[in-house]
Amino acid sequence: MLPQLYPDPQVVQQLLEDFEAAEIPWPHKLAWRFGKRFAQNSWEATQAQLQELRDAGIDDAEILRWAEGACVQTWWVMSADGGGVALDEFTPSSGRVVGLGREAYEAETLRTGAAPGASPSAPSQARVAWVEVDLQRTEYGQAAAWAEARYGFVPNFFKAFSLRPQLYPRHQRALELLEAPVSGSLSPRQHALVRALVSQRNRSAYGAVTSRALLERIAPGEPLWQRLGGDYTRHPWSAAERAVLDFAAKMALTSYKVTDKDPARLREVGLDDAATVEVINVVSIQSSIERAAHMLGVAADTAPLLARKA
Amino acid sequence: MGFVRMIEEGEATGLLAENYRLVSERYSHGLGFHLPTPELYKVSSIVPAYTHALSESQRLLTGDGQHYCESDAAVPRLFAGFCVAALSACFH
Repeated sequence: MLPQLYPDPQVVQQLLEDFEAAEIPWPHKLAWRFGKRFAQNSWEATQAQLQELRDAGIDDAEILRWAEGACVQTWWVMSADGGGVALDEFTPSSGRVVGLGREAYEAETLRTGAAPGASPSAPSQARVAWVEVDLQRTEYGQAAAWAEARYGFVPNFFKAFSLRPQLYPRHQRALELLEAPVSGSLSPRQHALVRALVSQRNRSAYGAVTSRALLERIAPGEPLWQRLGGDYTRHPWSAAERAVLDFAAKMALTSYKVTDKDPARLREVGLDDAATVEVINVVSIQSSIERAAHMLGVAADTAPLLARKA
Repeated sequence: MGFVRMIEEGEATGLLAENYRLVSERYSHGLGFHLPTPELYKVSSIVPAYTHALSESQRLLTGDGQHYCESDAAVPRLFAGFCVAALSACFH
């Protein structure tokens, strides 16, 4: 995509080294900022930053399209990192230079915000979200009916995307996939631990409502949420749980650090590759939702997204 | 090649094979030349439900492959997502 947009190779190089200094159209620069915040520190997103997009002529429906694209790309990127996907032979040159961002990413991620594992940020005080909503649309009504039947209420995340209702099938599928292990290789307890850890690492008040409730449902009476909020390595875990948590923790904010040794460690404690794939996807999908919720200022729901039948 | 076992295009059956085919077709349509299923879509192939969801995401995001390289808007359709990838330190 880069060579198509910026035929001058020097501009491409400058973008990858320091996009703020690159001479590109203002809306493009805002997209770079949006992408960077989404990828690295979404919990620091503010309503003023979103307003800056509007001031540049980007309407709320378009902002939702950006958020959705960022969501899907987050899933792709984290899956590729976690699974050790090799570059395709046909990968265009712009794809090969992406790794140049690693040093900057690490430096900026580690110095921003609270340390990983800190309590999720406080729930937003917004009505539903920072973006406009239109709850009269037919497609929204259909998605809302699905959510009412499944959860007993309509999540604010759905309401926030009401101007882009064509995306609801993806959101529904993502939420379904997160509810319970899909493969049978990861236990419900391991799955709930991963979800809770990810919400804590992403500092997501939105995700915490569900992941905490799920953990307390799976392991009532155990202070697991609190243990995951601090340095979880100080607490006793089974060998399999510790391996799963270590892998999920690395995936959550530093998926580019995953090596073949990480899935190998899961195998050593008796988990198969399907369990690894499960962790990769749970971390990726949940992160994409939690980061989008940050970027759009989606207020935390008053109840968890747990299916009534569960 | 990856850290986990992946099912190649020639081995895939059923829903997984169908998803591989659709993904490849959408990319090929959008880019104007034939593209085999990218490795990225194979990483979850031993749990096909995830591959299916990835395929569906690609379908919705790209309008069934109709607008991969659209650039008539102030900011191209998929650009913000691309920026996420570029700034995620992801080698792929």
